[in-house]
Amino acid sequence: MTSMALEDRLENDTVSPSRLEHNGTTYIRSEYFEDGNRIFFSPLDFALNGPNEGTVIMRTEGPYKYKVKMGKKHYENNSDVPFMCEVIITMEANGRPRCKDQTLWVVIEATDVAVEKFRLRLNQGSASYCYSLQPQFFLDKGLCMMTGSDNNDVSIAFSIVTGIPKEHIILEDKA
Amino acid sequence: MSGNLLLKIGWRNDDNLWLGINPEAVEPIREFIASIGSYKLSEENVRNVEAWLKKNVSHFYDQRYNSNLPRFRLTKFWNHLGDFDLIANRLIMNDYCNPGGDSVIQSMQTSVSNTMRLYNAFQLYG
Repeated sequence: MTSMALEDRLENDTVSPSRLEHNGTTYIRSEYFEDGNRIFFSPLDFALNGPNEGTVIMRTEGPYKYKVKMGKKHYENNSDVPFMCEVIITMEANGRPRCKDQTLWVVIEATDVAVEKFRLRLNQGSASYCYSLQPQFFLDKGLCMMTGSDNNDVSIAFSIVTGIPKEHIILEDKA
Repeated sequence: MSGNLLLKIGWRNDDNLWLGINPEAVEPIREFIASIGSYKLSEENVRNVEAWLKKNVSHFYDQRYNSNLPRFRLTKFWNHLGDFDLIANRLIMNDYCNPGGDSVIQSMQTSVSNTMRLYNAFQLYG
């Protein structure tokens, strides 16, 4: 029995490079939901390639209708990449509002401002829960997110619309 | 009428709160959270939710061990921990917690998580 590399098994025309160069521009492949909505890879991808400020993206799943409105993007040190952005989440079930205009913070980078605002406990292994998705209602009550806190309606709604897992953790070793 | 100091009245039967929760999970979660009614909030015991839970909802825990380990046969609670977290966070989001109640709810979540972590370690390493 001879072994074959995966590359040999695949026909040439079925190989799909993850990057495409066209007219000097690099294109990265994307995934989409069946309804045509873009699946975002990460909070950074959402912040850079997602809706503009004030724009709404929607998804419907069974009796549930989710709306995500991009709010203000926050920048630091003259960077052109936001370190966090606000989104407004609305969710309806069977035509009745379940949660309305709930603010969710999407944290892209753990800057000093973000660490202080969300009381992030970095470099503490499993004892730290530095979730990228931080609902405002925890802050309003003086709480910080702990184990299981990611399983809330606001983060779930955002996750369903964008495809970003609600458990997404802020990366610390990002270049 | 619960006479509960840490949670406001009405959470047990608020349809909004229990929307989308597995019907099998509703009663066990309600019972588990309702145990907060006899919890007396103070500086001393706020960190001791784990021991307090083992004593007050004893049939949720295997009493053969000093540490908190789940008891599966008498309740379906341990099969629906995602629903429990969702309800706990909805209680906080929908303002059902009186002062101090939200911290105790979060401590209950941590305790439940630790219980399952210990159980898994117990299964793996004995």
